[in-house]
Amino acid sequence: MVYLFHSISQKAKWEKDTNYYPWLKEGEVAADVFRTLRPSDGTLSTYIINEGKTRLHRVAAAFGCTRDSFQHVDYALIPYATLADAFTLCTTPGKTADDKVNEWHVDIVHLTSEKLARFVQLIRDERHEMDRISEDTVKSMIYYGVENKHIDCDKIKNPKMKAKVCN
Amino acid sequence: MIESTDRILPPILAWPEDSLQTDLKSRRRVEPADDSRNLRQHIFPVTEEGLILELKQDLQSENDYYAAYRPSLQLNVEPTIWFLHPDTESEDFERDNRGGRKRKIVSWPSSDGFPPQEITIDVDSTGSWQAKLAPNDSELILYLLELTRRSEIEAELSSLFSLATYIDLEPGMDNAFSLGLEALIERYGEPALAEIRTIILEERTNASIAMEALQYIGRMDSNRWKTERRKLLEQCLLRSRSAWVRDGAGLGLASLDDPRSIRAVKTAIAKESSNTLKNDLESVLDQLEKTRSES
Repeated sequence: MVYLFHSISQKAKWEKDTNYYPWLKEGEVAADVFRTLRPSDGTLSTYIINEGKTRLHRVAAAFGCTRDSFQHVDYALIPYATLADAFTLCTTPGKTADDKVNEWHVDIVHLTSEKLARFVQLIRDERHEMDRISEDTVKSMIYYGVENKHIDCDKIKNPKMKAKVCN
Repeated sequence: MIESTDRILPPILAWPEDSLQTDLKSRRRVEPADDSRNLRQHIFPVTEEGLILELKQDLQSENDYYAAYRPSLQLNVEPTIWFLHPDTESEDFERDNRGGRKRKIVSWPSSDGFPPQEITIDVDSTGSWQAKLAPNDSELILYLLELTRRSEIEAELSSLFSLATYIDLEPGMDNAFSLGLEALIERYGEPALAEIRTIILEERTNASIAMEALQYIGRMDSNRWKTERRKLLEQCLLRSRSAWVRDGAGLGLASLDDPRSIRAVKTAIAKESSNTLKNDLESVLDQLEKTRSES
């Protein structure tokens, strides 16, 4: 099965926290989950992950390079076929410092509020994989990527990250 | 007569006049120095009779007044010292021989652990109040400095957490909130961290912002206040009601990567009700144990 990787800003917000939010009913999550998806221009950015998921850490490293500092990566993995049925997918080059990862980039486009709600429902109801790659691992993978020339220092656009990993 | 500042202040409070003016205006910490001059005059409006306090009517209770002091430097806060319940018609007030003024010596209520002090209240013929506090020892100056600092920290953190509700807290990216938080912790250290702990654990900010704040605190580039930062993160991990806040604290501890947190993380895992968060904390624990074995 092939998956699409979408970075989520804080996966804890997908937790049903009835201790803190007692008004949540069975199966509900707080509306904050919409913010964790960070859509932009009606689009969600994703990356294709192969069946064995061997691409996962490389994608996380390339994604992590776009930030100001080393940080964990929270993500959801959703079957490609599920998304292809329900949404419009568009293959566009990614904008990371890893050219190979950029080839795996797919946008979910033409997203309306209803479609985004559907996306949330899909992740929540079908319990697709949602996990975290630790800051420690992301950092190691970034250094590994730079050393092995997967990550091109000239293409790291974030000056703070560039100063950290390329000097 | 006021004693000279040199005799009143212990060496630790002696700052050179120039650096005091510069650094207090920019509200940075200043280092002690040997050259002490006029500290009191720079910070507090002291006259020969003592420290002038401003008496203000309590808006909620018209008969109550409170005394405040206004630092002479342009600090953006005006700390309140204590509450008074003056009654000018009581027999405790006596007419003095200075133009019909009433005067009373009252005791400063022992609040915030500071010993009672005597203050003088003057009421002139127009009914206007003035209170004076004779600065008779260095403890008073220390106390007022601490009050000034504490009030400033509270005011600045309150503004900063309010600001956070309006800005995009994008993970991994610096923003006005993260940079402001870092600057405040750098400047004030432990008192700022104590106030942040209060804001988070008393839920004076929302869980989303608290979660981000804890991650920033763990991720600060600076090595300063590491022990205090770690303790704050551990306390939030163990005591917050919110799973989001506990997650933020766990992530902060992973960024700090200090094996001294192992015990707190183990305790947190044992009592964690969310299986997902329990798994994430187990990853943090693995990392800390690996760090300990490598060091």
